[in-house]
Amino acid sequence: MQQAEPAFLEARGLAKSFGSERVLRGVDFSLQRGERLVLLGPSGCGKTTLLNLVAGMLGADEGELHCEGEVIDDPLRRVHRPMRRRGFAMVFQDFALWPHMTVAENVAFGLEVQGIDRTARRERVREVLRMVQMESFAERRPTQLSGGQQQRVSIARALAVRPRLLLLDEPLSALDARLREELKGELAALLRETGVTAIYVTHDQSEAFTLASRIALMHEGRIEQIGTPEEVYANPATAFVATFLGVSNLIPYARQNGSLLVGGRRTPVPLVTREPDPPREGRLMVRREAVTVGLQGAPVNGAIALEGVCRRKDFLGDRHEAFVEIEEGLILRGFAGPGIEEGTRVEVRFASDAIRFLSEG
Amino acid sequence: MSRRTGSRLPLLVSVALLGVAVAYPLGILLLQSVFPNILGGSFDGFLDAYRRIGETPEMVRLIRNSLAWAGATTVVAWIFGIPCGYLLARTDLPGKLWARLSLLVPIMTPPYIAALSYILLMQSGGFGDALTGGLPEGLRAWFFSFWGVTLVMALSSFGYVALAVEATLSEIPRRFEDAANLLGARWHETLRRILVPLLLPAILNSGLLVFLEALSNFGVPAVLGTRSNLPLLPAEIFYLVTSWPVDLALATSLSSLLCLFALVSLYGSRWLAHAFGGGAYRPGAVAVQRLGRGWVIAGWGFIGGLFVLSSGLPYAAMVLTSMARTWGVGWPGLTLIHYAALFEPGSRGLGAILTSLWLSVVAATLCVVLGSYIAYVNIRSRGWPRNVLEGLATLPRVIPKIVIAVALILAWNAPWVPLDIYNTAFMLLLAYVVIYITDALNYSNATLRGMSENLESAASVLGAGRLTVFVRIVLPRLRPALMAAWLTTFVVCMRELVASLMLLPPGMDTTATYIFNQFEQGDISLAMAMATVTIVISTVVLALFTLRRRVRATG
Amino acid sequence: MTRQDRASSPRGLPARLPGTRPVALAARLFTLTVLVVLAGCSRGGSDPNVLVVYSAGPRGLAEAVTEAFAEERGIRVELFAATTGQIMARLEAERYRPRADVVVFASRVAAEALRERSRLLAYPSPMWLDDTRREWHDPGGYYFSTSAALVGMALRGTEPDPGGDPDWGDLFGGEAVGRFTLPAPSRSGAAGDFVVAYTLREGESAWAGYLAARQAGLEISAANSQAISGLLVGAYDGIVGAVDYLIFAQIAGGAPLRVHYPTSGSALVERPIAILADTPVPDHARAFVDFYFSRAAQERVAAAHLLPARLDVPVSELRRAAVPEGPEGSPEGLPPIIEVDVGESLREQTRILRRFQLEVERAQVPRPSR
Repeated sequence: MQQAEPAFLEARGLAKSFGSERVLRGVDFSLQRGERLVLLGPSGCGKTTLLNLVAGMLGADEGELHCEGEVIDDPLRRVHRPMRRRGFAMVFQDFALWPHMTVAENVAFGLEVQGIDRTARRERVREVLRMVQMESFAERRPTQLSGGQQQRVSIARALAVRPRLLLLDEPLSALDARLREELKGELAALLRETGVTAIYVTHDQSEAFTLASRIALMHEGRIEQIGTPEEVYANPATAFVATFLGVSNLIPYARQNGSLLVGGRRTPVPLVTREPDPPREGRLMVRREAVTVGLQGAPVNGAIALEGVCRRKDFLGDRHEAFVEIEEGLILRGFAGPGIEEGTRVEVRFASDAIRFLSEG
Repeated sequence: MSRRTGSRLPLLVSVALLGVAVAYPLGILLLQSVFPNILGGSFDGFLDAYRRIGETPEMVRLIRNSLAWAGATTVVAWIFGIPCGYLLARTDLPGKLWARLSLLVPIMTPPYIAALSYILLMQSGGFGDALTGGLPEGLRAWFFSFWGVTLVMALSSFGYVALAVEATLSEIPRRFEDAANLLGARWHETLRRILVPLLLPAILNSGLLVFLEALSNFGVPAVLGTRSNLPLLPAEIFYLVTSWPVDLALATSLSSLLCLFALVSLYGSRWLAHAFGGGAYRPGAVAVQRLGRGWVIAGWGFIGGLFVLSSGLPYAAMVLTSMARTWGVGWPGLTLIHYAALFEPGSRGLGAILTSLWLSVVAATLCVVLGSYIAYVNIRSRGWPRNVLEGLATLPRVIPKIVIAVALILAWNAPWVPLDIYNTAFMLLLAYVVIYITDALNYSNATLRGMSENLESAASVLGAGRLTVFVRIVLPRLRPALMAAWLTTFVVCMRELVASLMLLPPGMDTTATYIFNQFEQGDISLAMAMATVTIVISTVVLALFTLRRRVRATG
Repeated sequence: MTRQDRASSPRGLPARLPGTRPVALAARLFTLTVLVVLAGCSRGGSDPNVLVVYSAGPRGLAEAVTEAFAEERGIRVELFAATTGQIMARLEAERYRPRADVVVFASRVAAEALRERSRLLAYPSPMWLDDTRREWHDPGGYYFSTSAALVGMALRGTEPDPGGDPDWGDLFGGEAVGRFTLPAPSRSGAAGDFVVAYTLREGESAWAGYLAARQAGLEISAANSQAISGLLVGAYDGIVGAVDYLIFAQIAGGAPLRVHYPTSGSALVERPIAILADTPVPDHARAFVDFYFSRAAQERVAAAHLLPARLDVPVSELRRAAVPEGPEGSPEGLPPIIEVDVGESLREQTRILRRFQLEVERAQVPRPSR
């Protein structure tokens, strides 16, 4: 990943093990000032460990971490900038508000440690509390607040110090669904407005899409793909990314001359692709929303059609989803047209330019 | 990696601290018991002392006695305590608050004071005679025997059993019993198959506590055991070390055996509780049994009777004696001269109170400071030194105090020790810290375990240094636990007997040794006046603390 | 699980710590404590100009003698005054880390025990030897008795009983001669010496006697002082195994007591002084021993109502008066003594005292009302 201007934060080959468990297996990424990078992945993928490495709670076993051109972690050179000297701030999943301090005291703490004088401190506390709409709660104790309110305070506490980098560790996952939805939008607006550089860890793709300027998809200790939300959704690089984001159909194929042999029965379909040179064989991906399931015998222009039997039909609220068995062990999902019932013979259709070829990792 | 060693430093310091304070003395004790001349650099006399124990029928009897007595005490404490626990947890007995309070009083009373008071009550010409016009000699003979000593010890420890049983019984949800009843089980089957197995860990653990307490208690054996011709291990070890002819080899080997019994019973009961106990479950609402009038009277008769025996009679004897003008036949005239003598400037009594106060204050402070620090270090680190640290920190909880005292005497008189602590008050200070640091540590541990590490990270990431984090974030969270730890340590130090007797330099007294010596040296009234004063000081300190906390909670 | 190694974070920087007052106070308290502890025990190493003396009571005498010696010689003396039992316990505890240079015991058997274990340093033929009672000293020169006391009975009242004061035989014959007490032989060295001496003389029959006396109401007191205070307040009529000089001191203070030496013999308890083998300052130690046998020191001994070792120092008035049958003014004026062999005493002592503890002190006897 070549950048013309020097990156704000740059990680090269970061690795970390706990005992024999290799949690990070060489992670590279870079972050521009003002960017909001979301680390997205299932639990156990190493995203929180990566965040803790950046924060300085942990030291890397291998690799380097640079911030604004300075090395802040490099085990080979025995450099480990302690977390309190990195100028970052963090929002925790469990809020981590100090129960023995009031809301205002919590928010003021970082400023106090920086040696900022009392009046400036008070001014800034009021300002950030206003930003998160918690101004009237300044003298309350954290235990007297609801979960959502606590997380607002926690965000205010982190923003108060105007951190170089804001780290958010699944900040919404401890809240219930409705509150999460509400706070997600607010948080996104807040991050955009303040223009703070941020790294945000989550396992929820909708949070990622709302908040990220770029998403890094993590899987088994590696970053599988990094890009804008639109990029990673539209062009998943690997099967993992394809299945983790959205609902996708993965179909094995082999390439033969100008056509593709799809599935176990090697049904030939014409090859139309934007990609210059797809692999000779592997798996291709088609998003569920690109797939329509209709009754047999109604050809559609320019579309690839595969025959099968509808095995299941689910109601999604605005439409139906059909699970079609093309052959033994290969089931494709798509949106059902009219007249489809379980057990009817159907046709699965998708445009040939909806096909994406996956590089198998 | 330099970072690693830097981060391990506090852990290693903690291990070293406890190693010097706890492991070193106990190691020396064990070595000395095996090689009686090891401190002189000679391996002669290997296992001599143990051989002597095995060959002396009197010694074998002594050990058997000790184990049997501790066992009997446990059984009697169960008999007293389990019904109390049931009444409190599972019935609608009125006045439960008072009942609970009546269980706490004997726990808070030092057993040696209870034993002394019972002697005043039961001896010929004592209050018992004055009250009844002459106790039957058979009763007196029974009291000054194995079972009388057992009774006194059980009375001062059955509260542990009662409270543990109550706590567990009031957590076993009624749905367990309902489920059994729905399946057709009768009440005794439910009791046997459901309640008892779930209750077993609590019974065993509290029983272990009583057993260890009895096995290692010095006061009751020394005060009452000697008068009842019942030699018991801690008292015998004490006499072997402090009176001539001194036999350190025998004392250390008996101490090691005592240690061994304590550890075996600890692990044995853990194993038993594990093998027979129920698994973990979520507490729920319990079934409460309605008591008829007759049962209420019977229940209160039981609890009240135990209170009279465990607290009422001894306290009455203690206070009356402390105010007795003349010590003779019949009811004494009442006076406060003994209290006046106690507080007379320059008197031994006042000296003892002051010594106890400063020793307890300093020891409690040291225990809390070191204990919380070690607990913090322990909980925030891992690896083998942490396991060592944890093991070291739990040892003093199990090892009898007399053994620790003997070990400290040996350890601090070894030829290589650079400091002359022995025969200064600092020896006792060290002993208090070693004996009670575990308790202080556990208080901090409980709080630290429930405290998210993110609270500290949140401060660190904002730029706070390690010290700032500890001072601003950790300590305020720990404060209630530290207060409680400080108070408990203070109270137990104020009454600590055996280590004080063994380690104080001659001519110096603490309140406990003053009571003990005065009782032995004839002025029983002074002894009891001091006992009353000690109990009043402890109670006042505890009450003030509780009050303050209550005021703060409501205010 | 990932937040390992909290400590890989920073060494503490001297950041400003607002609001740390209670903790700062605690820290200061802690530092102070540590300092006090260190100051209290940093005496390590031995100062060549300090003599450490362990002395069995009476404390006043020990203090007076050591002070006078320190003044005369310009040598600092550290005195540790306690009972013989405590001193022996301490010497045993300090066996491999000796601190004492000179020890004064209240029992010859204790000194003999240390001599047998080669823990004493001999002082061959001191100059004053012939001026003192040579038969009290160790023939090998390992210890010298500075003084002696007699262990007899102490009774209430100043005048002898018209029917004659009791002898041991009366007491240990089980007769109810009154409320008597015996200081516990395991605690009081003098009482222990008496029990050992009497048991050795009487043989097995002594045991029946002790038990009979217990059944007749003989009580065991923890120490001399307890027995004496019991006697003073009237809880007891007499003390068996009372050390005479303590009683004389009470009489001198006006207490209505008397010392009685039974005709069948009292136990003689010497108070030997000895130099420990490990002393780094043998010269000072010998000087202190010399000083203890000087006329001046011996006069202090006599003034404490002890029997002085020097033949040319007279006993106190009270003591002389208590032994009417002795030739007037003669230091030889001793009542009948139970003769003992110190070696035999040492060999038998442990057995006798332990048996006494188990069979007599802890005997279950019906308790008559007090």
